[in-house]
Amino acid sequence: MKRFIKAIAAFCAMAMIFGVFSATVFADENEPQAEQPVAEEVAEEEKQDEEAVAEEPAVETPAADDPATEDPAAEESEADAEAPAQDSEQPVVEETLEVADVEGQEAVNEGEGNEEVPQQAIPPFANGQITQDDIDANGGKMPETAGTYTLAEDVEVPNSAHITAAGSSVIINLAGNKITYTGTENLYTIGFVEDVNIDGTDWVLVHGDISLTIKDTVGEGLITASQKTKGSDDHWISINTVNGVNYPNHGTEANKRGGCILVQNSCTLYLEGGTISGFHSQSDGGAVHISNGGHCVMSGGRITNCHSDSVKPNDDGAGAISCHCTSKGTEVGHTLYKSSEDADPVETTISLKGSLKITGGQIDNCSGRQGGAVRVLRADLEITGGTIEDNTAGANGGGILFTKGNTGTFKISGDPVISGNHCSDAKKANVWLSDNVTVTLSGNLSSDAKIEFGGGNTTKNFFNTNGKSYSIDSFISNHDGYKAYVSGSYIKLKQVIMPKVLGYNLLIGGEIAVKVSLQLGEYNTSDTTVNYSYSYDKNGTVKNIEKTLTFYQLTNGGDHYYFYLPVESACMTSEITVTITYTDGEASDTSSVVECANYIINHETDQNYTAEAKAVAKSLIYFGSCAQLQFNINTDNMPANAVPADNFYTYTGASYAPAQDPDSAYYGTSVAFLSMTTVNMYFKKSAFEGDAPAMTVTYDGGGSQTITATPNGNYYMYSIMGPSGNGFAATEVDLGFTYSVGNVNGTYSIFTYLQVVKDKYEGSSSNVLLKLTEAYYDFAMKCLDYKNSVA
Amino acid sequence: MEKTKYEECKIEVIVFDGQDVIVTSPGDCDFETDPLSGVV
Repeated sequence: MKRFIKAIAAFCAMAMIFGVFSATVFADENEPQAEQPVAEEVAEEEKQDEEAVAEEPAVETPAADDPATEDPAAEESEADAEAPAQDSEQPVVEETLEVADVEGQEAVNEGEGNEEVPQQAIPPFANGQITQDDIDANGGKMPETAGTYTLAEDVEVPNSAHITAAGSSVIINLAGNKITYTGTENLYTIGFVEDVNIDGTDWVLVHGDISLTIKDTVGEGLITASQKTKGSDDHWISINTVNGVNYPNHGTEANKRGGCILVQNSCTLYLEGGTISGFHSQSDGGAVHISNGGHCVMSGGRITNCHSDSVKPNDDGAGAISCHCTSKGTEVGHTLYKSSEDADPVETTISLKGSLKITGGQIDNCSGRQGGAVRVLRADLEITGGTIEDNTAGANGGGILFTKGNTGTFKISGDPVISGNHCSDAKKANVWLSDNVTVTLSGNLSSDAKIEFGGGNTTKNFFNTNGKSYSIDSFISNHDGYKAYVSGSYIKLKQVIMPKVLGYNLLIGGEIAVKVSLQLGEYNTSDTTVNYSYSYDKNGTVKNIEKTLTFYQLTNGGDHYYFYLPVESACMTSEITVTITYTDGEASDTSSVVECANYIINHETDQNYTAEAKAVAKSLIYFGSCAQLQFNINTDNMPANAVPADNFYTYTGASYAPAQDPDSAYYGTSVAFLSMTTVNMYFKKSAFEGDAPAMTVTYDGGGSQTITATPNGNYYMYSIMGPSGNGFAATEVDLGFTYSVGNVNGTYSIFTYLQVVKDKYEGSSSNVLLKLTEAYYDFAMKCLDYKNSVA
Repeated sequence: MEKTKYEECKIEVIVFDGQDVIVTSPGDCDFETDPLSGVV
């Protein structure tokens, strides 16, 4: 390739400058941290330049010689058709902006100086203010020339701005106001990569050292879009090797990138404040795309509800910020570079590796296929703060997808929170590290840091703690069954048995209960608790049942733990939630008595799921449905198969002995068909003198109890349990007992009650109490059949 | 092979011998029914 003589001369003349320049501007892979100070140094130099120029009288500003306005290549590359109309305005714009100062006083002084300029229309963004009139006068675009600007009111912006002048620093202070971009491309592209031909030689020319800063000194400042955006053309630089020599390969991405802001090579975006919301990109970077060799520092503000539409689903992503480096190498020479527009281009080596540094701010509710919030592809990522949460990836990395590709580095320190993001594959929901990536702690990690992570290879070194301080609790594995642990200087994953609900057994004894079996693994410690809850609806009022058990209230079953959960007869359709809470998280499961019963009914008949067991399950469901109707509980949630069970047991009413009751004290009896079945006998207070007498109960077959009265209006109630001290078992339906209280004595059983109800309501087929008692009898008989079958 | 959550699900009919308390706590439900409901 021929060398242009002027370029050679300029190159030689500026060799010294270049020697310093490359060391400070161009990224060194081995010292990636040097990139950040460089970007800040450049911005600082630009700010100093602005202040120096601001002190000069306006008329001395050589705006007419501004290459950005006179360079035909720059204008030809402008997609905006209104750009030529701006030419006549730009000399004046430059003149004014170079004296503008958002700090106020200097702008006022220089405004006086402007009065010396021949009378013309007030240029846009005078005194560093942005109003709707300024936008309209600037071709419907945001400011594109160096300066500090403050949004003075809400504005609508129909066209895309392009900051092309090398060395420009544009600072936008939202000052609490709103920018609504109404176009379909993006709000800003910063940087300018163009193809030039100088004396027959083709070159790639980079206008670099451009920065855009978004800040908000007031709060609630917003940048949003009124319709779906696409982003703009990414003029990326890659490498083309010819005869072993690398030359810049300049292309334009077919699908647009950077829905709000696109950052080209050798330029930097600073996000310091304000909210960016509602942008889309066709390809990468719903809010921001950093092209090969561009940079972004996010220290504040928020990116929310931005989305990559991922035209190429296997390649595209990052709802919020994407950052790239070409696959062919991290730098390329034989490239022309301008660090300021009034300088001649210099042949240099430029870096093609982008960088993203997040030190604060928040990214939430963004989505993309590869990277819900952030995707870094072969570039450098450093996170020292900020929160990334509630973003969603279609494929990988709900929070961050990092692909190293032999070039990128990933560093963390400080107090970042990357948690609560989403992906259909749970292990990829937050930070997903592809390749054999090891993240390095570049500084101490606060105990407030929280990083949920996963990676394709669960055996690798996920984090290099690098001699820094940290808390292992900050590292949370998204791999089910794996936990983060310390191994020397690294954080790795180990497989652990995680707590879970193993299963359920239905118990029918003196109670109706569910036996819940649990796997606790290494969390069988006093820190572990178990909570169960269910709710029921009575007459439209919802009531909640909830209980928390300590570890010591669980029964050790050898290879598992268990507890019993009593379920009321009318609550068999209530959804029961069991939650195990342990030091590293929670595991929960839901079920219901009806769900367990149906599982038994529908299971293939075998030694565990016998015909007798299925019959009990069916009759239990019907019994429960009758209890729902009797108590008016969960009537909007009746079991689907609530019909009298097959081979329904029936009985007749009569043949029970009335009590000996000389004082007519006996009023009546009810049976409470709850989780425990108890017999409640009522006697008139007026029949007893003095205090209520105790009742003596003696069971057929042995055992007795003494029962004290419970006053109930005009009656004393005696609540009679089964002989075990719990409720009557269903199999004890016919178990008789003798009772004696005061002058009253008699015999009774659950079956007696069933017969009395039948006598009273026979013929009233819709009577809910009659249905309940008939259902209970069938249930009891089926329980006896089952008990006999397993005896 | 990992068991499904219902692989252990079966009916157990418990016959009390007066020693074991089957549940860790009595039923929690408070249906607030009319106390004389169902009295015959």
